[in-house]
Amino acid sequence: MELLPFLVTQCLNALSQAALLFFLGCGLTLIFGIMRIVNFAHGAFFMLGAYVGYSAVHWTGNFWLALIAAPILVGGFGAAFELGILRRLYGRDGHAFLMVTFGLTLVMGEAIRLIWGVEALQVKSPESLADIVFILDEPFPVYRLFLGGAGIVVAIVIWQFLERTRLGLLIRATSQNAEMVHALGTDVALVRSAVFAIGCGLAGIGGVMAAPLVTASLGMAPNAVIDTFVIVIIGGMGSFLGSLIGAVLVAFVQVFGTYYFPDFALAFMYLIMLTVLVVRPGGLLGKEA
Amino acid sequence: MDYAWGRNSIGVFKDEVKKAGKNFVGDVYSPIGTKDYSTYITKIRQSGADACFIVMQGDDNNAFLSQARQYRLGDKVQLLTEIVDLNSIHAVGEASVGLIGSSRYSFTFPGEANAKFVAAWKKEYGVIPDVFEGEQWQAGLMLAAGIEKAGSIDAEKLRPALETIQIDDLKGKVTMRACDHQAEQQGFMVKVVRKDGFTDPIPELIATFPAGQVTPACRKMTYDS
Repeated sequence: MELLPFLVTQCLNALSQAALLFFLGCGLTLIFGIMRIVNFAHGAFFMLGAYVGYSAVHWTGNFWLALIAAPILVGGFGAAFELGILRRLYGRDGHAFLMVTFGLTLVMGEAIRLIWGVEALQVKSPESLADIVFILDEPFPVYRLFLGGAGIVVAIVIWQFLERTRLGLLIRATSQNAEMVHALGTDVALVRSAVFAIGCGLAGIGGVMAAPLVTASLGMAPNAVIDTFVIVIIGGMGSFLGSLIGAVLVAFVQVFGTYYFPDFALAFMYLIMLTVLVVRPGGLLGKEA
Repeated sequence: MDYAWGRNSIGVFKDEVKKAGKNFVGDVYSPIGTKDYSTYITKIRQSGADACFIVMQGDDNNAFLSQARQYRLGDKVQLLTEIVDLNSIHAVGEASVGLIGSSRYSFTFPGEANAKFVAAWKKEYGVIPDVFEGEQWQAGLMLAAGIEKAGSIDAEKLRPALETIQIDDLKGKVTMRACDHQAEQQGFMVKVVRKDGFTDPIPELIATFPAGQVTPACRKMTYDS
C-alpha cells in the first residue's frame, strides 16, 4: 500500500471511530455539565440503543427506522429514569448518583439479558451502506464513511442547538449558574430532564451505529463506559467542544498508535489521559483546574 | 487475541507453517475487548499474505469478522480460524461465509451415531447442536462408559477405569490415554457455507484427520512431526 492511500484510509478509519466515541462522550459531558453527576449508566444506554436497534431492524427490516426509534426510546427511558429516581436525589452528594447509576447499569444489563438473551445479535447495515468504495484504489466500507459523516452532522447539529436555540441557551445558562436561571423563572428541573434525555438518546444513536461493527452484545456497556469517561476527562468535564476534541484525539492516536506499536494498543488512550491530566488537571477545555 | 490462548495457538501455527515449508509473514495480537479492528485489517491487507489464521472467540471474534467483511478482507486473504461455532455464525451472518477452521464438532459429521444425536437434539431443543454441545455429549458418554466399567461413581475406582476408556460414537473413535488423561480423537476441518434449508450459514465438514496426526505427544503442547 502506498503512503497516501494508507494515510487517507487510516484517517477515515479514525474519523469513523471518533464519531462513535463522540456520540458517547458528548452525551455524558452534557449531563455532567448541567447536573454535576457522573452517569455511570451511560454505557448501558449505549447498549440498550444497540438492542433496540436490533429489534427495530428485525421487525421492520429498516435500519433508518432503527436509527430514529433507538434515540427516542432510549432517550425516553432516560427521561423516565431521571423523573422517577434521579430527581429525588438532587441535593445529595455525588456518591448517591454514582451508586444509583451504577445500580441502573446492573439492572439494565440483566433486563437486556432476560429480554434479548445471551447470544450476540447481528444488526445488518442497510444494503445501500453495505458496499465498498475505492479510495485511491483501496477498498473502503461505505458504512464507515457514513459513520464519520453522521458524526460530523450530529456535532454540527448539537453545536447549533446549544448556540442558537432557546433550550440550548437555557442549557448553557443552567450549566453556569442554575440558581440564577431558576430565579429568573425557568423550570430548571425540566431543563435537567431534557438534557438527561438528550444525553441518553445520543448514547442510543451511538449504540445503533456501532451495532453493525461489533454486533449487539452484553459486553458493550462496560466496554463503552470506560472509553467514554476517558474522553470526557481528556476534553474536560462538561465541555461540549472538549468531548469532540477528546473523541477525535483518542480515535486518531488509537488507530495510528495501534498500527505502529500494536503491543501498546491498550495503553494509548490512558497515556493521552495521563498527559492531559498532568498538564491540565481539569481537562483540555475543563473549567475547574 | 492477546492472551495465553491466542499466543499459544499462533506459536504452534507458526511452527507448523514453517515446517510445511511455507512463509510466515507476521503476527499481531489485539487486546481482549477491542472494538475497532480497522487497523488490524489494514495490517493484514498490507502483509501480502495468502491466508490469515485468527485465534479469536466471543465478542472479539464477532466484531473482527463483521468488520473484515465490510472491508472485503476475505476476497483478498483466506481467513482461517481455530474455532467455528454456530453462535458466532448467527451473530455475524454473511461475514462468516468462506471461513475455514478446525473444529471439535460439527452437526454435519457423517455417521449414524451423529445423525441420531442431531435428531434427538433437534427434537428436544428445536435447533441444531453447536460445537460444545456435541463435545459435551461425547464427554458425557465417556463418563457414563467409565462409570459402567468401574461399577461405581467413587473417584478412586472411576479414575483407573476412565484411564483406558474407549468409545465409538458421534465423533468416531475416542481413546483416553493413561499418561496425561487426554482423549485421542479425530480432528476435523470445516468450511462455512450457505446451504438451502438453513437460515444461517453452516459449517460443512471438508477434511478429517486421524487421531495420531492431530494429537500432540504426552504432556506436550506442540507437534513433533
